[in-house]
Amino acid sequence: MKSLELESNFAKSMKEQCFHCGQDIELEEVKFDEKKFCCAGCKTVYEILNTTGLENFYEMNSDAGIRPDSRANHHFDFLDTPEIFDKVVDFSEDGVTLVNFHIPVIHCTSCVWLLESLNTVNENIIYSHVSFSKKNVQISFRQDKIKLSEVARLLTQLGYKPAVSLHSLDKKEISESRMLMYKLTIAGFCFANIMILAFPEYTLPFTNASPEVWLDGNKWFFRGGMFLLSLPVMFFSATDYFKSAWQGLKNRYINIDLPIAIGFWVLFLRSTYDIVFDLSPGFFDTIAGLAFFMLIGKWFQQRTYKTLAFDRDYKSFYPIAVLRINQGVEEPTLLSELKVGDRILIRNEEIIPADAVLMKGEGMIDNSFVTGESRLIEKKMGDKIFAGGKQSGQAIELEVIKEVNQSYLTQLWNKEAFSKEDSTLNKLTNSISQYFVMIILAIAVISAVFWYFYDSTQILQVVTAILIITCPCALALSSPFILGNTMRVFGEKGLYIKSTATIESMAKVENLVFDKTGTITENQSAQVNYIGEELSEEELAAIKSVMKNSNHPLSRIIYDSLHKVQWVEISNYQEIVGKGQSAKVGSKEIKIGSKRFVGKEEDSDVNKTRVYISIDSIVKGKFEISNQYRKGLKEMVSHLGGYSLAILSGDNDSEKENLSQIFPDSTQFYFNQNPEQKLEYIEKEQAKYRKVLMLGDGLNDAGAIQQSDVGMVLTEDVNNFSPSCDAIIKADSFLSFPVFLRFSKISIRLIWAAFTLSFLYNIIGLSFAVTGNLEPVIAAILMPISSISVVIFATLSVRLSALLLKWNLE
Amino acid sequence: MLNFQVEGRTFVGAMGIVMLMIMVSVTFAVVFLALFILGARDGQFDEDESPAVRMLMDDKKVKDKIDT
Repeated sequence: MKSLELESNFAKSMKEQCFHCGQDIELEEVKFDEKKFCCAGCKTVYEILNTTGLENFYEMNSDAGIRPDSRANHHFDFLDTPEIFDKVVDFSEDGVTLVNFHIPVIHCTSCVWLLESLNTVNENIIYSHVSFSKKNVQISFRQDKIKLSEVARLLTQLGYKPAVSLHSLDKKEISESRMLMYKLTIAGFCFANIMILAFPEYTLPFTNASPEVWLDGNKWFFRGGMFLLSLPVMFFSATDYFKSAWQGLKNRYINIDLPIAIGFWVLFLRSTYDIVFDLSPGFFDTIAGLAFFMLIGKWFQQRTYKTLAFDRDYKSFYPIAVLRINQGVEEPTLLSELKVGDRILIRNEEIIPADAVLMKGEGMIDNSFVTGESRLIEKKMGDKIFAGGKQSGQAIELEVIKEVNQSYLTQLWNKEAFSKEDSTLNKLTNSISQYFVMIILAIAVISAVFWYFYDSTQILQVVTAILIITCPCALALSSPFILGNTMRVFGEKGLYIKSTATIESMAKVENLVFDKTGTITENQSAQVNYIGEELSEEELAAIKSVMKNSNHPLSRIIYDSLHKVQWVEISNYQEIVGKGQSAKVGSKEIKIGSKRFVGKEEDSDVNKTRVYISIDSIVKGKFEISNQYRKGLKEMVSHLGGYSLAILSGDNDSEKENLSQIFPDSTQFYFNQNPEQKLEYIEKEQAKYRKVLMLGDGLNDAGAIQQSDVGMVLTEDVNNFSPSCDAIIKADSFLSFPVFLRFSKISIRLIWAAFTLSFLYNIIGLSFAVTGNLEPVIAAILMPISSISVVIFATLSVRLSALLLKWNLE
Repeated sequence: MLNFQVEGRTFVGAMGIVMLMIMVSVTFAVVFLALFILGARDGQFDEDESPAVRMLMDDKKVKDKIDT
């Protein structure tokens, strides 16, 4: 028995890089025009760019190209069926169609340039317009000359595959953000102009000169103008706060918008009363200023979320159409049109969109996104299959028994998404608002009583002044700005979170749970050992060629290690995920996979890191893959002092010794865990009222990740779908994990600091209000200053803290 | 109109110009606001990252794309 040590690490450093996408070229390099490419796809894009005169693409950014998806199953034909076409396109008339595609891989200026030059590549495309922050491209094309499916295919060919999912059909977003923009600009316009009108009367308390007379005679012009300009603010710009406060009241809870709404109305009514009875110029400038600053806060929040937040629920996962079999004819049908009793055809790698019964074919269902189990479940005729599973293998026919929205799992996902949304973005702020309102009312009542005895004519003035000056606008701005800035910092450093509520949860976490394979172990480099009969060049070539067709991480690792080997043609390729692959090379039958798959008896311990090879039914040997832990793991772990750690692994305990050296003694190790057991562990800890963060790769721990208080997925490619996680961390930023946790805690402390600052303003303001001295000019100065200073504090403190931390522990 | 009598002297609408100025400037501002809203409705402000990038790209030949 000989053993071949094949180290892929060393060999990697000698690889050349593809001219188009910049990735390493494994030995199958494609040469064209004296340049080297990693695959036919990249070479094709280069060709297209050259022949259409778009070579500038390479001058703008080197390696900006994206390797096109080489899989052949790009079924875009469904886009051409009339019902689906109507749903997907924005506009279609007179032969010109306008469509908006979401392209997740857009990442640089070259992408924008290339996508906006589509009309050069294909003359039937009239124009294309990229929206970089949303990663969308709007294309207008001549419908009679080129089909929608062909446009999609052209994009895919260039490396920009459009993501057409139920999520992309939701078009509500634009109108919401535009409304906010209108409200904001109108509030700003009114604010500026009201201040101009308010200015003359500001000078009154400070001068006794003769202009007073003129002003006195004309104050109706100024006051009337202010009143008129405050109307758009009260009845258009600030309405969201009123609606939100009302909603809260209807559901019997107090949120931060209630005191804000009260503040607005007291301001408005008091000001109107004051100018009618000639008591004071009114507080209209404060109204507009408040509205303006608060809407800026909202706008900032919205911008942050647009670029950074993600929504990973079933909508971004499901396709929009499925093949329905109608009297023997397969026609693409929108998911929303599927009815109970319909027959549908599900091909390899397609998602089953609704609960159904298997009618024809052999079902091999991969439920990894649902239960976390990546092992294939065999289903036979008559078996029930739940929505959300993925078929692996031949095409199967199913009969739908529940509509898409009624299916068990979409309901589950829907409920989950809804309940998390409900817990609102500013948990901290809302919990404070309860106390706040009570304290203000108490102060108002006490002051009213005092003034009743002291000078009862002032009661109304004092009480309204209190309600005005304690309007918690600064308070309401603190949390969004700090959390929003934190979110941006995280995004810059490689952590993408779903919403700011995640930051608050991260700060409270006590238990950290790690998945082993793929999370703390490297996906890429590993040490591969071959043990068995020596394989000839021919045989190695055969094995490598078969492995080339698989995306399984183990196949990729072995494939990488067989570096110097050529590849040959194969036929009859079949991959059964979880078991193995087989193909014919020439006359030989090659089988690669688990021990049982290649024909030997399974060992008692399930060790996934051995891959067996058999040629013509003779088992030749096996590849043993040893895990390599991520660089810097030990040091990273040493920074996790304050947390209880645990490792849940689906592998056996052969690695326990190695792990014990990396992780502290108090760490709990659990091996041979299936996805259900991982989920149970999380639930067990939560039952003890501990907050749990789970870090996994989303493949076989999806259930546990969803159950955790913070579910974090570690990934090399942030565009991959990871169901129901709260955060995605880039593999490159793995070492920053402890710093992320620490920063979330710092963030919460900064929120408290900002609260304190805004309370200070409230107290200063109260001292004027309670003593009956709240002139409009004081309110007009105090409130904008409090808002601006809190916002500046929030932004600077977060940025400064981010600068002072050491993000890379290297 | 805007005349006042104070201690026998008349201020002939000197300060009245302020009101006229305010009315004129507010009118102008309203025009700008209207233009802004029209631009926002046409989607000009929906996205602010790609215009910055687009500005740096060279002009390509503009062919008459839409047939009459």
